[in-house]
Amino acid sequence: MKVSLHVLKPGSCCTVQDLGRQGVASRGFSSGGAMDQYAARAANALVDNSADAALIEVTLGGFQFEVDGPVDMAVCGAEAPLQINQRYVESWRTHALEAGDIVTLGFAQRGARLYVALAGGAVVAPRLGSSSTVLRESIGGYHGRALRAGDAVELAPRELSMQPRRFSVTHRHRFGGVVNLLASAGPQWQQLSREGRRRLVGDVFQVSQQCDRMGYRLQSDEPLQSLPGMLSEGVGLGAVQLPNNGHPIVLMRDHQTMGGYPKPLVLLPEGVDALGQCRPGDAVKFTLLSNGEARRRVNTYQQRLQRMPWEYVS
Amino acid sequence: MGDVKFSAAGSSALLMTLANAPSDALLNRIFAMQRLIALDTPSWLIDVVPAYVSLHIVFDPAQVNRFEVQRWLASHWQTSISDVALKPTVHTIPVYYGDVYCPDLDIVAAMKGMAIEDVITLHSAFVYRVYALGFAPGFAYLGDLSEELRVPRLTTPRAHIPAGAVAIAERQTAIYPTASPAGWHVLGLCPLDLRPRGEALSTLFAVGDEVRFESIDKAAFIELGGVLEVVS
Repeated sequence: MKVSLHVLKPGSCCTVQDLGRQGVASRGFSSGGAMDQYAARAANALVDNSADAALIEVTLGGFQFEVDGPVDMAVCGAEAPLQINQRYVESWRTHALEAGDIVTLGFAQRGARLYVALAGGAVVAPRLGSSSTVLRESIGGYHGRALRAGDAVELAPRELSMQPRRFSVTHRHRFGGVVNLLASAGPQWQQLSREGRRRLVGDVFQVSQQCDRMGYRLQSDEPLQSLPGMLSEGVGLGAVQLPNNGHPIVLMRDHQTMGGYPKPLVLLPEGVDALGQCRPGDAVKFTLLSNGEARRRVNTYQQRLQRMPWEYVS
Repeated sequence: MGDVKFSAAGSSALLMTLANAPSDALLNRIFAMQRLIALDTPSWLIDVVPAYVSLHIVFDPAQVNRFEVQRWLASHWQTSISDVALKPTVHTIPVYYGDVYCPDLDIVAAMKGMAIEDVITLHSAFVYRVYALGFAPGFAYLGDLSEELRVPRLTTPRAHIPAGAVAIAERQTAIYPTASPAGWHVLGLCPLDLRPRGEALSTLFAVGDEVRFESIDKAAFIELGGVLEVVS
């Protein structure tokens, strides 16, 4: 039978996402995709979806919906109160919903993004091989836009009655303290002075109010050394741009494909995921890895993403 | 053309810098390189983004290391030099240089001490090349603009210019496929819909294409489906 999710309260920004589009930057398109791929994959794994099933990314919470049929659900990511029919339940765990159940994600206390996976996955028209929404381009997801109250998101049919799964506390996110963003050298690293390098990988930065799916502007008390502008060149996910004002901008999943600012660092995928869970005011610092170390970390993280460490609820 | 330079751009990307300054010859070779890659795309190659003097290459680090990628790119770059039999697609883009609608025509003319007519003639007399795609889907960076027309970006960008705006900044010109904020001077309006189309979200321009502008009058603009909006 067909089950749909009906949006009651849309929160500040809820979009349909999957792991994103690949190979579209050459044509000027953003890749999109879940800002925290670990949490998105975790939520999908808990309801036995494929890793790239379409789910709902909720920014900072405040999302409420009703389902019109029985379906399994899991919520992973930021720390936010989760309720089913006003009863508090655990995140990072499978829950069996019944027709008419109302699910409420409260305001996130820590972290920035929550992933709501429903068994079967959201059914939207794929664009360039992905269901991800890129708001700036009005492409993908639910008619290329954020979800609004009254929207109905259809789910792919799925047989019921799976044994519930959960992530143990050690495999859930832990928030707090200065977030360490792992990075390796970007194309313009050599252009920074010794002092410039020392500050970039030594200073603690604050996430500013200007942070969204496209990029995160960071601030420190004193601006960093600025570098001369350049001819525009291709820019990638996680690139740390250093504009004239000396305050870095990190490019996130909806980043533009070209840019003319120097990029002394590029975050590793796990750094991008970690920053995707940061919100204005959070403290972050960069840690520079050698190319060899970076390669090992990337492989380890990739393996972690592919073998989601969930366990059955006994 | 000098030596190519490779720089790491993170754990899964490389920046290949091909020259110090853009040129027609370099663009032809980038175009040839793209065709070579399209004919023989390895499974580890995720994206190649050409821009002026560089290629940004995204690869899958689980399948290949950056030194293998560098070797592969260097060898394809060598091969690309002999690929001369290429014909770029040529586009003729109608533009209504309507001074009532595009007050920047007046401003640019004044800045350059020439008549509006001369600005229009200079802008539409040249054949441009697509140097890069980006900014927004369907947006192409076209160059090189005649030296006599080069103006800096606006000090304060406009919050809104209409879809189809034909604009200039420094050595570049472009057509905005969708309404957008913009810091470029708007010279005209293009009646064509340049947004991505259909299931495949296909767009008109590719890197290396040739573009020329053809001045049309208001009646032709409307007949071609243009919607008049004053740029303010």
